[in-house]
Amino acid sequence: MSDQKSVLVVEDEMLIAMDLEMSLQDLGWNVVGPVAQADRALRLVETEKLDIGLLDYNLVSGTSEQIAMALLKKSIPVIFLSGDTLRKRSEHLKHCKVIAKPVNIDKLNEALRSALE
Amino acid sequence: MVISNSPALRPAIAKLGDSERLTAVAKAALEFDQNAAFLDELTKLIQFTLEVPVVLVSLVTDERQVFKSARGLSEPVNTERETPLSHSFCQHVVTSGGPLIVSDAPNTELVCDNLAIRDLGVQAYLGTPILSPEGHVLGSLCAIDSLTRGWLDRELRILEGFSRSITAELVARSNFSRDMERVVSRLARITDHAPVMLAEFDKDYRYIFVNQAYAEMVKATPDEILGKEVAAVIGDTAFSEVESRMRAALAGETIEYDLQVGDAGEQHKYLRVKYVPETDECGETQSVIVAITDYTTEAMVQEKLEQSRQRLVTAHDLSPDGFMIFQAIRDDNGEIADFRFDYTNDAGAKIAGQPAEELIGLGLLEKLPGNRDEGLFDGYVSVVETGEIFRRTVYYAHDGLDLWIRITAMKLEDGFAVSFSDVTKRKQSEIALAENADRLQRILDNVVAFVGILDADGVLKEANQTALDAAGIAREDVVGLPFWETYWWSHDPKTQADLRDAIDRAKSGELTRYDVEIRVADEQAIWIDFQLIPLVNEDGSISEMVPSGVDISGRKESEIHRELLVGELNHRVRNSLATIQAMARQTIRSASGMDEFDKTFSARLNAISAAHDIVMHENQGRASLQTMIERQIGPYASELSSQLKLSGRDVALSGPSAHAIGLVLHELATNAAKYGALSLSDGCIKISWQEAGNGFVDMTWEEKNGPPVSPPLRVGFGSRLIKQSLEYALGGTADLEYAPDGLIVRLQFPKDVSDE
Repeated sequence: MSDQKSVLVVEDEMLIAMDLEMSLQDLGWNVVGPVAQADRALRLVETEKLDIGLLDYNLVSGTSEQIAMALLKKSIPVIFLSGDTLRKRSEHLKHCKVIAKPVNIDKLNEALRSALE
Repeated sequence: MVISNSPALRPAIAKLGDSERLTAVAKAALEFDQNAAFLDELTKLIQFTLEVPVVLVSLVTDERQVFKSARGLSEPVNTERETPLSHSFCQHVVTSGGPLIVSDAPNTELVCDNLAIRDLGVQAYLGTPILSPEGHVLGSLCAIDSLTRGWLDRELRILEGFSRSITAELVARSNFSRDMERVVSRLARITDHAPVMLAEFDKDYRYIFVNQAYAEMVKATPDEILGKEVAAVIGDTAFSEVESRMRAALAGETIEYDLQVGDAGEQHKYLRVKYVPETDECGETQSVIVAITDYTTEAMVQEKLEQSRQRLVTAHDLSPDGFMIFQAIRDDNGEIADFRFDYTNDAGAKIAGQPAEELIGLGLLEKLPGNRDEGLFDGYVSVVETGEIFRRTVYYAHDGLDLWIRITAMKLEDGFAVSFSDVTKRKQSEIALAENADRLQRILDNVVAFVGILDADGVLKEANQTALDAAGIAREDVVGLPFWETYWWSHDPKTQADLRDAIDRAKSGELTRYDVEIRVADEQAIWIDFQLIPLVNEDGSISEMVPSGVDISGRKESEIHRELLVGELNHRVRNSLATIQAMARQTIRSASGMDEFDKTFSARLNAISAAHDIVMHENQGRASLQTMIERQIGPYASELSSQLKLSGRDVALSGPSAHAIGLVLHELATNAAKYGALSLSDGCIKISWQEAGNGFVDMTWEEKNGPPVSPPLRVGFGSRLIKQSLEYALGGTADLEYAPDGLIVRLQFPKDVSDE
């Protein structure tokens, strides 16, 4: 399928990761990952063909800002997931959309689609 | 700055033989001989002050040194009072023009060969130059020790001081003879205007001196009288009356008599006449001085004097201050033994608590012995002996009195006059005021708040100890500075500007309060709740301002901490909701209907909740693996003891590890209850585990005596969850073996996965 888009899912909460994977697959996305660790995610950014990144902002090992930077460098749009929408992000990532947890899958799908337009 | 040794700034440095210097030495020697007592007192004082055996005033000529005063010399030098230069240390003071300090003579190059060491036993020598009024070095004032001695700078300065006083004495004496000449010529000018008639006549009764007043008395001018005979001037009649007395005066007798002159109808004049013989060196009377005073007015003066005395007494009686006059009562040795009450005004008697008539004529110590205890008596004695004024405020609680008195005593004849007032009330209020101020200061110093006082311009007048201690500074470091320039505010211009604004507002009567970070000790900063209150006078002007502050850094920290906690809580709640949402969606996928969804979802929620309980309730957020197994499997095993066999030493798991393993155990248990060993009453599960090192735990789940097992057709949520939990969330491994005898699951997972 030529119009199937690839989304990199970075989420360290296992159940959520599983859910995102299956739900996004159901909606026709090619899910790359999900992965929980930043170094694995960075490796996927280098090796996989990606259209967009869906990143949980708070990871056990820190934030996902570094992954976002790597994606943005390759002009790949980024959407953050966060349980804490109040937390401050770096100035140059302010323009990235943040979707609050828990996630409404349809809204998430919509946000991903419009980010690609 | 370098002090130059320029000769202009130094005493004249003269060689010993300089003729001008030798003349000055000879002149000084004469002066010193006339003034021996002064020098002897001086050397005695030096001997006592410096604690040295020998002190000399030594004049140095070009061949010897002569001692004009000497203490502690041994014979024969003590009698001879001189030595040749071979024995003179003092000559070096003269030649150098400066002090000579020798601590150990035999080992001092300049003097080691001096014969004074051998013959006079000189070991240590401290000498300072004695200068003439013109600046010649005459000799040395020296202190000599027979032991080696390190002279102190203080001792040198003492000796120099005494040297200067010798010079000052020489200056005074040379001024004195010059002054005498001036006095004589001045006296002549003064006598012309004196109210005393003065004249002098010689052995031939001819006037050799008259003053203006005398000339006027005989209605002539001084020039007309000088050289004339007395009889020709005053008339033969008058002369005959006084001739015998004049003769007696010429014979060497001092004569004094009263004389009444005046014509009828005129006011009589009362004259007092005195003849004083002037003698030459041989004792022969060469002339007689006549001094006549007109005491006609003296009677009137006497009367006036009595009047003013009376006025003074009246004034004293009106005065609220006590006033008394005392005369010294001296014992046989001339020492003051007591003072006699000579006079007291009414107020004085009242303060002393005794009627005047019971005081007058009696002794001070006799009537008021408390004066000795308070040191007042000694003070009065000192007034009489030194003439200095004595002032003191004392608390006097003797002799039936109890009061504060302020005393001023002044010498009067051989006694003293004393004025005193009862200052008890003032003193008490002073004490009360001081106590109040002191108490307030102590309170302020001990309150935990920072408190200060500013004047109306914002200059710090006072700060309490708490504020000073916080900054680690002393009062004097900050008092007197504009408040915004003090230590606490000195770290930040913005903070200073805000404070100046607050002070400006306080000047217009406005109170300001805000939180601010101030500088404290060790370059730290703390938050305070700061308040600046103006103290407003009745007329609306501002007298002072009171800044105060309370340390709220604790409150600030907990505010920040609370914000962090709220953020963290928000984050976790949202994550939990997301997790539950994800689990619900996954459960729906595999559920056949609402009933099954309800049952499975509730059971999974319970499993999560149970895992959470165990983590929360056990020690420090760690959970026992064994408890976790029992809690998760218990609900599905009818006979826990027979169906469940556990072996392994208990392991404490971190929160995330426990959560993940709890959910895995739940999935395994529900699966076993539905399809495996727990679905039959004979079935049993053997769970064994052990620590594998590196913080990992190896765990094996073996089912026995259950229904026959075959691999599932598709991978269900349960087995996916097991694998993902281990591999994804914990970074461990999970291996599911569908053995025909029963499911075998091998898990390896870390016990210490942390959540942040």
